[in-house]
Amino acid sequence: MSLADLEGAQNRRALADTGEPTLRDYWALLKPRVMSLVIFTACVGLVAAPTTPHPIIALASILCVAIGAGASGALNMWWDADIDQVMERTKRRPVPAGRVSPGEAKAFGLGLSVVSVALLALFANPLAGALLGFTIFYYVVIYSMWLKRRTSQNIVIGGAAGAFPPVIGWVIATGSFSIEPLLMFGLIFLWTPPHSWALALFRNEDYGRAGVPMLPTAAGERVARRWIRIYAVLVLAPVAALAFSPIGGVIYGAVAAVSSAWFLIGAWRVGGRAAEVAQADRYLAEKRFFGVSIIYLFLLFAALLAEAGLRGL
Amino acid sequence: MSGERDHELYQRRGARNWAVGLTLFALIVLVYVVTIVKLGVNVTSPFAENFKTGLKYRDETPIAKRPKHEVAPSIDAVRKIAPAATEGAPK
Repeated sequence: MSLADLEGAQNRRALADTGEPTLRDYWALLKPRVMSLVIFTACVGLVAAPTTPHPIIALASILCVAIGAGASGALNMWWDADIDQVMERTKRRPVPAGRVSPGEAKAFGLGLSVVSVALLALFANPLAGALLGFTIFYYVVIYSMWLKRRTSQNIVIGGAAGAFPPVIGWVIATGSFSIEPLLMFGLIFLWTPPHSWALALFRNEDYGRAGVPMLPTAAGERVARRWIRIYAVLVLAPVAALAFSPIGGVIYGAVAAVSSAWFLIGAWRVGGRAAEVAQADRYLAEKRFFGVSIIYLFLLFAALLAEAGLRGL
Repeated sequence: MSGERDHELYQRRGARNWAVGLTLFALIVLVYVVTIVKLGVNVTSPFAENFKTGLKYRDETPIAKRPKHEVAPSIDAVRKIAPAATEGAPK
């Protein structure tokens, strides 16, 4: 390493200590990967609805949902800055790394929350705005502030926050609820625990260090593995129901059948492994299942999107 | 080193100010566009109906052959209702 390299590194550390964030830091506050999943599921909910708003209004509304999701992420990063600092997975985030001050993250999140909810209520309808506001409240207050550090059922109840976006998309289009968005809600609600517990299995030490009572930490790996199997079976109910709903169809049914089998096989494999075996291969099956769960959800919603597209032809 | 650090700080603040400004501008444009969409396209041209009528008869179809509701009232009819409005108009 040359002298210039050393000086550059010192400068970067000094700049990081100033709390003067870059645009990339603000972007990171929004949790872009979570935001992209929210945008996708909200779009599917909107497109799958029987009525479609004007494309401009649809785009503007989805933008509001995206901003609302980003606001939730920023507020979560503000609140969880202390535990993010001790977790390997999250210590490089802008707030624990010192690039953004907690107060700034809070102000950023609150400002975006108010703007996104107000604009969605104006662009689409008040019910959609209210639902977005409730989603943000649910994720920040109910999950992050209340449940996450208190109970091993945190992700079961708190995971509902991730299940609201397709409902919001539906309400943007129709202004009301129906059984179909509730099925989409149920799908994500029941998918979230096995997805999150797979992550918690191979990040058990991290969560333990932070004092977050994820199921593998609080009740042990064997209990968590059993419940991963149970929820993998439970999620089949809304998946199957959607196939016979007005927004389902043959394509969705075929995709759901194949991908659900793949998901179930992965869950069964993870559910039956001994801790020693998992540790020996560094939780390879658990990491694979975590990836499979993401692809599974994506395939199901992509199939719903395809069905909506075919209905429009 | 201090000079380089100050320059970096100014760059970051400048970038942030530009981002805020562009975001606000985009927000204004978005609200304007959505308002236009919600009110309907014709709201941007208040004389659209007259323009459409004019386009319809641009081959100068005689007034006698146009539907009654699309013909402007005669000067005499206006004079009967509002004499002051026709002051100075030819008889």
